Amino acid sequence: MSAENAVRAPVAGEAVRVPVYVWDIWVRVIHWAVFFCFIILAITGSYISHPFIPVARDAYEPFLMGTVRVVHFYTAMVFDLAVFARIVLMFVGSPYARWDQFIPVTKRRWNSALESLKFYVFLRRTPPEAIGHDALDGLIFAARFLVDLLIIATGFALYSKITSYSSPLAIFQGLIPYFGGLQSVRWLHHMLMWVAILFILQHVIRVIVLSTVKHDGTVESMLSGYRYVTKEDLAEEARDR
Amino acid sequence: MIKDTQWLARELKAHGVSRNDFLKFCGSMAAILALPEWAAAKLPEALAAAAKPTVVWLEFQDCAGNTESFLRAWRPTVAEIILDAVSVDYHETIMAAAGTQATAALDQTVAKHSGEYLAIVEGAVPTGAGGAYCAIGGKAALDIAREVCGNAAATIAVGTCASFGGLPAARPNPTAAISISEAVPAAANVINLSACPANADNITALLVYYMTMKRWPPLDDHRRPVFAYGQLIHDGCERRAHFDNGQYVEAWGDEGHRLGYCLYKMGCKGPVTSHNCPIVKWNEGTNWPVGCGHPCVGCAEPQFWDKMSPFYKHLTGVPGFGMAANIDKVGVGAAAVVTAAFVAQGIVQKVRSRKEENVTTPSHEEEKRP
Ligand code: SF4
Ligand code: SF4
Repeated sequence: MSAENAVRAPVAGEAVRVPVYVWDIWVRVIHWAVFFCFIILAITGSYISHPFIPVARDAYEPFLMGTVRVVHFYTAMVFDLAVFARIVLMFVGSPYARWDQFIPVTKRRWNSALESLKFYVFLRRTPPEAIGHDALDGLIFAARFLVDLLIIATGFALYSKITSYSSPLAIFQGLIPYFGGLQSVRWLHHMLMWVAILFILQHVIRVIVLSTVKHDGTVESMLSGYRYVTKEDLAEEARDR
Repeated sequence: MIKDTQWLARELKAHGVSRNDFLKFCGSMAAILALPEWAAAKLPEALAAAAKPTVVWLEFQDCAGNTESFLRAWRPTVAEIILDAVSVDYHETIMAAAGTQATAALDQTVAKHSGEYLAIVEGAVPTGAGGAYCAIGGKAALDIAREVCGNAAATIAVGTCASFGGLPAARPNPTAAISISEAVPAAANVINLSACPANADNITALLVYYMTMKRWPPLDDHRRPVFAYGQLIHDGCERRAHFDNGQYVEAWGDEGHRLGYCLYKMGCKGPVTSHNCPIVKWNEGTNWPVGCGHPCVGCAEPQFWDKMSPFYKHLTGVPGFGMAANIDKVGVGAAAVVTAAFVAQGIVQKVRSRKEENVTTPSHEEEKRP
C-alpha cells in the first residue's frame, strides 16, 4: 500500500504528517496469525459446543467432530505460539511493540489515555496523537492479553483431560480445581470467546474511525507497517527518548 | 479387625457357594481394580486369608440410596458374604436392634475397636440450627461423625452427599450441609466414592482391595480411588463413535435417539465427568444411563446439582441472565450493543470533524487528492 493512497493531503490548518515505520514485520505477522487463528478457533469451537452440521446415517466414516476437534487443537497451538511470541516481543521487539505501550508508566501516557477517553465521550473532536499504540488502546490491549491468557489456560485445562496420561500436557489438570471443575472450565472457555469477539469488534470499528478522523493510515498500517504521524508529535517523541 | 482367617471359607461353604463362583467374583473384582495379571491370580488366595473388617455404616442427610445400591450388590452369593458378612456392627436401615440398643452397639464398636474399624458414611452433615436438622438419639450428626470417623481406621464416604455435600448442599443449602471430609478434617484415610448413588461394585472392590492389600488404593484430587474415577465417562462410552462422527440425538425419541446416537446435544455431561459407569454399569451389569438413552448428569462430580444443571443443556446459563439463558444469545446481544455503540460514536465524531473542516477550510471541496 503506497503512502499516497494511505493518506490524503492535509487540508489547511491540519498538521503535516510523515510516515513512520511503527509495526515491524514480526508484529504484523503475529497480528494476522492471531486474527486468522481466532476466526478458525471461533468457528470450530462453536461447532464443538453446538454441532450444527447434520451427518447422514449412512455416511461412511464421517469423523466430523473428530476432525473439527483436531483442527481446533492444532489451530490453538499456532494461536498460543503467536500470543507467546507477541509477549516475547514486548521485551525484545521494537519500541512500538514494547510492554510500556500497553501499561502506561509515564505521566504523559496516563494523560494521553485520559484525553483519548474524552474522544469517546464527545469531549474532544479528535483523539490525541500517538506514534505507536494510543495510550487508551494499549490499556485495552493489556486487558485483551489477559483474556487471551485465560482462554489459553482454560483450553489447556480442557485438553489435559482428553490427552493421554503420559502426555506432558496432562499436568494442566492441576488448573481445573482453580477454575471450579471441568464444567466451569468449559463454560469459561466458551464465555471468553465472546469477550474476545467484543474486543475484536471494538478494535476494528475504532481503528476505522481513527483512520477516517485523523487520516493517519492506521488501517493500512497493519499491512504496510507505516503510520502517518504529525511532525510535532515526532519531535516530541524524540525529545522524550 | 477380627483375626480369624478362616471366616470366608466357612461362610462360603455355609452358603453353598462353589469355588467356581468365588473365582468368578475374584475375576470381576480384579477387572474393576484393573489389577495386573499376576496380582489377579493371587486375589482368591489373598481374599480367602483376609481378616474380617469391622464396619459401621452411618446415615446422615441422605435418601438411603447408597444402602439400596449396597444391598443390591450383584453376584449376591459372594458379594453378600463380603458385604453382609463383614461385621456390620451398626447400620440403621438393616440392623435388627433399634433405639438405645442400636446406639449402644455403635458406642461399643467405637470403644472396643477404636482405630481399627471402618466407618462408611452416607449423606451430608447439616451444620445449620446447631445441628437440629439431623440428630440421632439426641446427638447431632456432626458430633456423631466427629466421634465415629475420628476414631476409625478409615472413613469411606459413599455417594455424592457424603463425598461433596451433594443435594443437601446444593444452592441455597438451607441446612448448611457439608461433606464428611469438611465435617471431620482430622479423620484418617477419607475415601470418597461419589456418584448418586455410589456403585455397589466399587464399594465391594474397594473393600476387597483393602482386605487383600492392607492399604488403600491410589486416590485422585478429590480423594476418589483412581480405579473407579480415573477416566472420563466420555472416554469409555459406547456412543463415542457417534460423537466423533458428528451424529447426535437432536430431540427425545427422534431417529438418532432410536439409533443410539451420542447424547451430547441433549446435555450429556460425560465429557466432564470421571467415573467407570460405562465399564462396570449398574444393576448387575445390566446397563447404565447413557446405554439406555439418558445423558449423564455428572453425578460423580463435586457440586453437580449446581454446576451441571440444566441437566439437558450443554452449558449453564449466564449470571444475571438466569440459569436457562443461552450463552451464545447473550454473546450475540453483547456484540450487537458494542458494535452499535462504537459505530454510532464514530459516525457522530466523523460528522463533527467534517463540519469543523468545512468551517476552517471553506475551499475544502475543491482540494484534490494527490
Ligand atoms: S453420550 Fe455422552 S458420554 Fe457418550 S459419547 Fe456422547 S457425550 Fe460422550
Ligand atoms: S452416567 Fe453419569 S450421571 Fe449416570 S451414574 Fe454415571 S456418573 Fe452418574
